Amino acid sequence: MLSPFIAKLSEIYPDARLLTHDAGLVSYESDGLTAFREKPIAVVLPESADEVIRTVRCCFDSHVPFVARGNGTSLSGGSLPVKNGIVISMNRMNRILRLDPVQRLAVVEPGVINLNVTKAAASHGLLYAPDPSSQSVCTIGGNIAFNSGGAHCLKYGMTSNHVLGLKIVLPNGTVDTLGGESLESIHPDYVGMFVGSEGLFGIALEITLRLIPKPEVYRTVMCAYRSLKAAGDAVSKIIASGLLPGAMEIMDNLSIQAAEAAVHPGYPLDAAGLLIVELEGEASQVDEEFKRLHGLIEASNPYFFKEAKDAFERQQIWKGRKSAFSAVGRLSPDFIVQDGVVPRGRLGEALEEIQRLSKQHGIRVANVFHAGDGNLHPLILYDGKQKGALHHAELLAAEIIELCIRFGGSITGEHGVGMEKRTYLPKMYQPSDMESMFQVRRAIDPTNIANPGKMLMDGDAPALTTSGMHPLEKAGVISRE
Amino acid sequence: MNSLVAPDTKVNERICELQELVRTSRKLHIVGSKSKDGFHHSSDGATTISTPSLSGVVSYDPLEFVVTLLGGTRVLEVVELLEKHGQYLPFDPLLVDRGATIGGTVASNAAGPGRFRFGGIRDFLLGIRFIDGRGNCIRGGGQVVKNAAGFDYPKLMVGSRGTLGLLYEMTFKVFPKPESYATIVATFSKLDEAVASMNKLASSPLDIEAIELIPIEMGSRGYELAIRIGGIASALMNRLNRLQKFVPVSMLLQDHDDWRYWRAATNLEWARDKGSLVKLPITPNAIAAMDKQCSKLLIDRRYSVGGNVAWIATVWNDQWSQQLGDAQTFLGPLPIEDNGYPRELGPFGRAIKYALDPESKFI
Ligand SMILES: Cc1cc2nc3c(=O)[nH]c(=O)nc-3n(C[C@H](O)[C@H](O)[C@H](O)COP(=O)(O)OP(=O)(O)OC[C@H]3O[C@@H](n4cnc5c(N)ncnc54)[C@H](O)[C@@H]3O)c2cc1C
Repeated sequence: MLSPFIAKLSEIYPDARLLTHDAGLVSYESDGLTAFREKPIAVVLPESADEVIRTVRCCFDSHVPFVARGNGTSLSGGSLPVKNGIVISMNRMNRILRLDPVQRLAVVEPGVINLNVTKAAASHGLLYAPDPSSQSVCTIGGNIAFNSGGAHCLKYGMTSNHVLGLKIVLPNGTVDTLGGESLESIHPDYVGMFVGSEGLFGIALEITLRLIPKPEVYRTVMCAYRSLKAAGDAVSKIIASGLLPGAMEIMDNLSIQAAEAAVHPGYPLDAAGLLIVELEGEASQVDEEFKRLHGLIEASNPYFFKEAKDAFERQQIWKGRKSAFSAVGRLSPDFIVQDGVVPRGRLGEALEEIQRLSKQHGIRVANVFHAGDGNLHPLILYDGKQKGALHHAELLAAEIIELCIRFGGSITGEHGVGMEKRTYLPKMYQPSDMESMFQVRRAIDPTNIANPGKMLMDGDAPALTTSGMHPLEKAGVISRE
Repeated sequence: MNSLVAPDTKVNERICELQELVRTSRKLHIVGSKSKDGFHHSSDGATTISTPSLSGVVSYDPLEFVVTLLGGTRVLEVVELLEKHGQYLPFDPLLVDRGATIGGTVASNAAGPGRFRFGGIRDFLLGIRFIDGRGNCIRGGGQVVKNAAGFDYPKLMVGSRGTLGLLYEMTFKVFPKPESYATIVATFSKLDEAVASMNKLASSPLDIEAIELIPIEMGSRGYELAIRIGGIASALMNRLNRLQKFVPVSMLLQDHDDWRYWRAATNLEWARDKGSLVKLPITPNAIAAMDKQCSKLLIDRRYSVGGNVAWIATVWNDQWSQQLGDAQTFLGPLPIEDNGYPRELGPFGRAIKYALDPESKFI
């Protein structure tokens, strides 16, 4: 017997796009944070905005919570199903509706994969700048919900900096349009407010993205240091010099070893810290910048220095970097990845502190950073089969998060709060700040049905099991930064 | 970073007073220095809160490229401070020499030509503290350049026109300022040629700080494109030569001339004594039709940010102003009697207004 709610959904969807049986539901039980699992009562696969709107109205009328899902690569439990709720899987809405090379914008459906926008733009000499390492799988809708970043956020910002307009359906089923096609607006920046709201404000149905010209040249270098702190200090010096590189990344020895073993990018195996710096832009400007960069790096005393001499070598450097986490993940059955941010001037200090904590807890931590913006990605390795190991790893993770707050930073730079860090949000903000967020949430979603329990803690937490690689990572399809 | 308000006790006292004022007032209208008088037409019967008493730099760490300011701080003061350290706010805040405050700049989204290259105020505002309609002090965002924790209040406040709360502290990301600049002015007899060149440049890999499209004598003598580049001095000549292959150059501005030209543009000097000045967000494709209309009615205008903003300056008549649509008056009297103030909000905007200011105190 169909429940009345499922019966209502079946008026919207043919059987093949309304999943209610265990076999169909199992792959939607968790996202990239595999520590959490929850079975939804149904999964729907809409193919049009209209179907999404009708579904949300149905949920609103029946008080059934919903979670929008892109491709489930969230690392913080953002697309984890909600108890007694449904999953609205957006990845069939994957069309690029319009690409306007002259005005440099693209109008897309939310289920389109990030890399597909980049590819479509590239054929016009344009670039969709945000490049999360999951770009070959993650959707623009998911990127919007998390304000996702990537290695190249230093100069041109995160997802939010590249979204011009949104068509959304609010949790009560009303439809609204925010922003438009212009770079400028005369309204409060509602688009900016929606981006990063982690699915709590409803579902994005249509997204207008800004494209930028592809940089004329890239100059990419890697240099190796005998200590991680030396690499961190080099970053601080480069930033202080007034150069504005497109990317600056650091990897520690464990990550270097793992990446080298996995994809052979030619990294120096004995380095304690590897720094990657990339300049991008107009050729003659970049050449001059390179002279300065070279001087700064020389002064920072690396024992190894190499510039990518062609596109292939550049790609190798990045391939190593982008595969680092999955590669490290292979060294250990399970891991937790963190995403805190510290002020850039305190990077070296933060790195040393993490190493100290790792020693103190006797838990291996691999470090890969978006160093240019102070965004840390420590990877805490453990074996979930050992009793108490997950709990112990979580204690270490908590200390690292608290370190970031203490240093005046943030608990998350790009992975979002989701399920994972929702207990830490009140440590970063005052009670009045939290209350204000709840007030906004209640005004937009008075019945608390849009992804409830994420970011703001007001739901029941599902059981924690063990964490580890995303199924797609295990299959070698994607890797994380 | 976690303190509720700025550390200075005088400032704290002042903020407490303002909280009390918000709690006890029925209607409130927030003003900075009133450099953008177009925002101050609907304040009848409201208590006016003026922010310049809350001014000063809360913290500035040049090595971190982050600055935190009280809302009433004059932008000029900030610009000069940053310049001492070779840094700047790349979005070219408007009306700097007319006393603009930083809070007013954010609330009115007053970004200028430089917005073209690296983004607008929304892209540089990292954190914010404000007093909401209940009189509570709220902090949103943070003080580091990357932060995805919590709702993005900083962005929401850009363009909020004082209707969502009283912004009393703001943290900006700043950038290293290019060590040298140069500007090319190119003239065209026809608008469509100018627009085509503008689009071509904007899509090219040339790193351009600003592109403005300016009708000469209201378009009767053609149009000019002002194109600004900046960067390392030793590369600039090379880049200028390259730029000249794209457009017919009629004038080259360097050093002080370049500076003066853009300073005048950000101070909106061209629009002075012309009646009202209205901002319309547009895209390049809208320029042709709009310009035809303006030219017929002898209305002065400029297209800024690579064709993403139209500035229209005139003494208004009803016939024309009806067609304005989504526009914001920056300077002078309102073109239309009520010009939709408070503007009709969509469901998302209504919910947010209700959450932050349930009694609709801020007007
Ligand atoms: C290997 C790996 C590498 C990664 N690398 C990076 C990285 O470099 N940088 C980075 O920032 N992140 C990274 N991530 C995290 C993740 O890829 C991003 O958070 C991504 O944006 C999620 O996209 P998704 O389509 O998988 O969304 P999902 O995980 O399905 O959903 C994420 C959130 O978005 C919401 N959502 C989805 N669609 C919509 C919609 N249409 N409207 C409203 N809300 C919606 C969901 O409810 C959920 O809260 C990585 C993840 C993995 C597994």
